Amino acid sequence: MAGPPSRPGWFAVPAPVRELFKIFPLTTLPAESLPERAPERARVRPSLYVFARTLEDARSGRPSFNPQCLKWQTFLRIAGVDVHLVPSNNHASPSGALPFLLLPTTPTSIPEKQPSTQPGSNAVTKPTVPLTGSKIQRYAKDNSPRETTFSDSPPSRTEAYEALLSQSLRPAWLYALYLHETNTPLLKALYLPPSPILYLPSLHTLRNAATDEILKTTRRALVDPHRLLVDATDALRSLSALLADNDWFFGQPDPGLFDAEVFAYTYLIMDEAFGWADDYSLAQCLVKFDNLVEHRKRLYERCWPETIEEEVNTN
Amino acid sequence: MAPTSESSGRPPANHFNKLHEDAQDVLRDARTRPEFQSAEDEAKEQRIAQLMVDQMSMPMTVNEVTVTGAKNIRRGFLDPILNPLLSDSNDPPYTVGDVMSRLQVATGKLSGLQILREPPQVYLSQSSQVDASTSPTDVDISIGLRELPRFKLQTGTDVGNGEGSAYGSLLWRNMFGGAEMLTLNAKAGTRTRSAYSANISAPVLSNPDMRISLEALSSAVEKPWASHEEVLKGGTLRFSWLNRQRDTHSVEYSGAWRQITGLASDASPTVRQDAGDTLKSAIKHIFYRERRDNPQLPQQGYMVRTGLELAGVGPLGGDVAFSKSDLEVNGAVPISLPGVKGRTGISIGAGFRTGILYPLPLGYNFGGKALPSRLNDRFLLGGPTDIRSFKLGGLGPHDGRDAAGGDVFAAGSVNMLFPLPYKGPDSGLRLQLFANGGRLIALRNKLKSRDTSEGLDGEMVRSGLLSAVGDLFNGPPSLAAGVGLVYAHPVARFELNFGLPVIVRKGELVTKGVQLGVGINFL
Repeated sequence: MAGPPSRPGWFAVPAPVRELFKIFPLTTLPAESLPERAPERARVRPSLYVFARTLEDARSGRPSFNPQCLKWQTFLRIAGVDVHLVPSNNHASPSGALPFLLLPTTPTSIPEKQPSTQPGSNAVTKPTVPLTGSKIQRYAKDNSPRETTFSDSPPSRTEAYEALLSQSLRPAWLYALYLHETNTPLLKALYLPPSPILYLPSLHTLRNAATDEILKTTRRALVDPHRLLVDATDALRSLSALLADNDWFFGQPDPGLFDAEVFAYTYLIMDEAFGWADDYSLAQCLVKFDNLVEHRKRLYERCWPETIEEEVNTN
Repeated sequence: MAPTSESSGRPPANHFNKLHEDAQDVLRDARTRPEFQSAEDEAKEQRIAQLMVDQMSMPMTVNEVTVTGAKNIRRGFLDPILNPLLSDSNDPPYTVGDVMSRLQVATGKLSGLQILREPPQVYLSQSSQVDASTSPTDVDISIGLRELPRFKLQTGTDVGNGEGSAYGSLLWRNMFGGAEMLTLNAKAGTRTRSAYSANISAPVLSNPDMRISLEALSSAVEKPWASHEEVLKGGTLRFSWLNRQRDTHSVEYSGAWRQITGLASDASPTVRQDAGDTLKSAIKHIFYRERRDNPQLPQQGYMVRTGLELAGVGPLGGDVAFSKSDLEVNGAVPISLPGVKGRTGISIGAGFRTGILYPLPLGYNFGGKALPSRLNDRFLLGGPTDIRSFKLGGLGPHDGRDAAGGDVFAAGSVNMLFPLPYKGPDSGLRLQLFANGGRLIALRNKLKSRDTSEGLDGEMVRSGLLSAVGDLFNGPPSLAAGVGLVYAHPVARFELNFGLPVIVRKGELVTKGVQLGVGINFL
């Protein structure tokens, strides 16, 4: 045994007993395989847990319907990190909100000395703590196969414009999706459980949370839909001015996290398949700014080249 | 020997002397003989028995039944219990025997309602002959009841099964005078974050052997063996009855909204996969036969329990669908030692549990795809009250440290109980030698070529389950053995065991050495 023999304390297990304990169990058999619903023990690619309409959507990597999820999904695509999308919900997340990223199992955690017909079925992998928020950003940067440097834009400016998104655009988004009556079927399809028993309490909880969030960010006593739309238009105008004639924000040669964040909103707002009701249209505000629309298209084509081909083919 | 006495010791030569004896003396002499005594006792017993039979068939009718002390019991509730006694009921009793047996049934029912402090007091008296409506055979019956207090408030703390908790409960007996029982419970503890339940139950047709109950439950329980917290809100409607053999049957419908939430930061992907809401709507039948002399410390007899649950099929709804059946058998035989009279207190006991979860298609989509089982529906195995020397949920598939649960299991145990020296067979303390083991296996789609993300078709379920059931027996079970001390308290059984695992599967969590178990139902 390595190290100096330590003096046995009162509670130390006596040596003979320790030896006895070491003998047992007499036999160790291979592990039982995990249930059918459980994901494979070995992950080749990192798994990004997001909101997705269908399993099919997630599998083919289509953009998530949730702006936060889409932001990180886009950023990982910009970085060229191939991820496996897993449809999920907020309960699964360590932070209480999606998305989060589960890293691939490292080859060392799968002992190779146990050959098995089912890959990884015998491996007992170490628990990995999922990544959220800025940790995803760091992971994407560290694991990007591309030579892009992700040169950071001046943080002070980014913060100011990020505030624009969260203070002015997001409340309008929240109102449109969660509170606007004609969008209720859309909300139901996206976030609410299909069971009629759970539907009403969940709807109530969601609406209350959205109202609280809007009032907190706008610092007003009441939710004023028209005012929210005006604020959102102002925010978009500022973003349009910031982008100007550049391809990407802050005049960078390659898109960055801020581009992904803007895209997460602009893509969903103008997505015709999203299912928005016509009478409260954020898209109406957005179409006025051509460069933002162009930016949306540019980033989509860059990140989802495969769907562009599909669309061309179907057309 | 000299012919000194006439009564005893008669030499044959003196036989003729007998002729001169007094007849009375002969009779007295005969009576003292033992064979005559026993014959006479027998005759006496027979006479008494005959007398009893004669008495039992003596005519007797009941004129009036008076119940005293039933302050809170409805008249309409007592009527079905006491009516069979009265002479104006249909099929009235006519003999003493009839009246007595029916009286026994009625008092048995009254005591079984759990609203009385003690068994009812019964007095019989001759009906007053002054009343023109009475007949000479009429008696009046007076039944004296002492009710338990209507309200019982209880608060306390519990420590057991690796959990400490505080609870408060309110019991309202005999709410509407029909032995209805309302129980409100609130509990908060280290593992049970909070649990509230309300249960109202009532006997059906004034029969304590048939009860109907409605229960509402809201709880948030931490499940550290799978790194999550389960929030549950649900209700159960249950009808239970005792049959002629005193076996319990119960049929229940339950609906529950379950939410797997509050995941630990290092929760496994298996648990993360099943996080979120599910709605279970199920009917269940339970059969329970208890034939053990003492369920906490069985020395003799057996117990059988079966459960069959059907969820999500046809009109049931919800979003999980499966059938879940389980069987539990437990028994013990006493061991007698040569040279030791009566009970030795030594016994050999054995228990066996098995269960299978069969995924089914949801709703009316009978030929459609079945959804694979979820974390909160699957079986768990292991722990101080079932397979000792394993951690709670320590057997079966594990993802990291999380028990993923399984769809098929079998578990068995054998134990031998010895009384402690100087304590004897009548104490609740025993030494035990045990060996227990089992296997918990998850259903896997063996046809890997097919896509199972949308569900499993019938063939996949069948082949998967068949191979899982086959696996139960084609490998050795995970096994542990040890010695321990058992104490049977009327409320629960306590076990302090020292055990070591013998056969273990990779990933299974064991407890080497000392393990404490508290519970009411041990394998």
